[in-house]
Amino acid sequence: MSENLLEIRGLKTHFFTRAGVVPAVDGVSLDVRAGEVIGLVGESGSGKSMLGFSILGLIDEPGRIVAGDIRYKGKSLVGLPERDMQRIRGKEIAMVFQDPSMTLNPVLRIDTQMIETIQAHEKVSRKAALARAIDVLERVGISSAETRIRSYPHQFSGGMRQRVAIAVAFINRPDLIICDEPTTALDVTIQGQIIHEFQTLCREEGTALIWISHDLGAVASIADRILTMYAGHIVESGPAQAVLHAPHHPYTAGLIRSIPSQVPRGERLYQIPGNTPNMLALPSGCPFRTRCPRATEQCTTYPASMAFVAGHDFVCWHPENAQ
Amino acid sequence: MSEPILELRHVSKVFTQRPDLIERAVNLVSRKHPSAGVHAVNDVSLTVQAGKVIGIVGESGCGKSTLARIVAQLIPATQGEVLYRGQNLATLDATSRRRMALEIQMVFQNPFASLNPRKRVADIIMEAPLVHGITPARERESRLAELLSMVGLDMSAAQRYPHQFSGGQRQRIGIARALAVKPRMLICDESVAALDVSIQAQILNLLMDLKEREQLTYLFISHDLGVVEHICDEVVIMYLGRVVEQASTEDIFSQSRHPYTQALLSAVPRIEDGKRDYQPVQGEIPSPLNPPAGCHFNPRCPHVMPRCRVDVPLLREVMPRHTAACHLNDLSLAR
Repeated sequence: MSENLLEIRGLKTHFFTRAGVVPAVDGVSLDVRAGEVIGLVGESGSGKSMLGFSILGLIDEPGRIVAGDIRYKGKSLVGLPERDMQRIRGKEIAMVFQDPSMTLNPVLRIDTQMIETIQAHEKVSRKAALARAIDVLERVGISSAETRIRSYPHQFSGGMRQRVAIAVAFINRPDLIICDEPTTALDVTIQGQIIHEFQTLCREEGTALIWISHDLGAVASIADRILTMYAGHIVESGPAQAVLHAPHHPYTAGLIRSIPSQVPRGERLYQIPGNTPNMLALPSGCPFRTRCPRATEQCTTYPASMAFVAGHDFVCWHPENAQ
Repeated sequence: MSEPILELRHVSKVFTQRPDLIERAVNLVSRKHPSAGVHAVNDVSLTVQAGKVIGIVGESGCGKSTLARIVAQLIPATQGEVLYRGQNLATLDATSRRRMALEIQMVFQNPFASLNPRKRVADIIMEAPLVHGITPARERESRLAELLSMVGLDMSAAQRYPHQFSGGQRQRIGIARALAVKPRMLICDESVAALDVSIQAQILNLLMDLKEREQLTYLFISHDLGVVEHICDEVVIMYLGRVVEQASTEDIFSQSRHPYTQALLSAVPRIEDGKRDYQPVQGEIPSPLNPPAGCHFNPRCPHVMPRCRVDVPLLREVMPRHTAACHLNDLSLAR
């Protein structure tokens, strides 16, 4: 399995709060191949963002990676000294966040921030760095980049700021970009544009992408492979078409069924029973069993990972669409 | 056909910023007129039949929330009339106006910001009906229990604070608060936008059940076309303060006659389409402070003609009960 860009094995990121231990990421294993687009879906609190943060070593107190390994190009990232991590962050693995006004420094001009990103990793002149920054900005669809690069973040609209954030992520030609809800805060037409920029850039550069989102529609339009997360676990993973059209895990199936366009107009929407789980008091065994229409006594023991077809795995005793 | 519950006639809202001292001095010296302000809502006419769900769709800055606030009588319109059950509320005396306005309630987008964090749920829900004398004080408990069960919560919620609830539950509290004064019309301003899909489905089902049970009329404001297609009878598409197209939901989704609507429809990612290459609409949403001349959509329109940069297209009936504002319809070249 040496072709994998990123390998995560049994990763556990727990938060030690006063109220108890929150297992935000609880035993996640996943592989990302070079150039692959992974869609990571799940509801708020399912741990999908924390998985992204864990990869980049961005977990703050009271959180800690308590078990498992993250290997990037064969090298373990867990417990790596901060200095070494900084060399990887932004150079090898970059991140795009939901809210671009939070990623960009409001008191620095765009050019300052972009040049800084380049010079942090490479010994290049300011002039060469500036030229590269302008080039990347143009490639993410910002017109007259030479003049606009001298603006401050507040002078851009939300969509333009997100383009700048994407340009900053791509500027050092990383092999992997983690996007945490990159289009959630944007308008529909702008969301379409941003997905388009990602598609073209990733194809040109061969960049792998982990696209974290709760919007199954957006994930469907970009991902090669889809992973569903629930209560810190990956409950299903497989090729996008297979997961969307014949999901095995009842949670994935429920998520897809509750999208309004899945039922005729005016009819009642499918509801997943119950509420998102309290991470401090998860049920024993399968964490989804208290909301699951298919749950039985068997579900009080945690299911093993299974597959009907190689590459489409699920963690459930009573899968849907069984062959 | 029943009488319309709500009618908007050429409603406009202009927000003007008060010029500061320096600006006033400059205006005085140069004899310049003060700036025209932002046309947040521009000449919108709309008829809503009782019992219908009208969707208002558009992106940021299109004026959909301003329109909602005008209808809910939270802000006055600069021009035009809002007729609720045949009466222009602005012309009524304060007492009857307040009574009528109570029949139009809002459910807001952010369930975290729209509930007072220092009040218990019971007080949040029951404050308005007690103040307005809709519920007598001795019926407080029974009415509260009724409202909570209507939105799928139980009495144990009453003594708790908003922060003790999840987003979906908070939205239920917001709905119970709106229903407490026995409204006939609910304005849902992006009421499900902040929720996860599974919770969104619960709230949409709840809204549809309540509509039947309480015989409500909805003005459903959203940017999510999937949700709008599901629950609305009629759709109004807005762009930079103007209505660009209005028709039944079927017509909007099957035979739209405005390039902006078509662009919106093609930009929505749908899981049925799977992985695909996007052909996104070009350009940004222009600033409402300085909208382009002619048709506001012209800088982004794939079918732009010289005329679009000069003439404002008027909203015309292109088919029975289907209006659109696009010059293409004059050439019958649309779609």
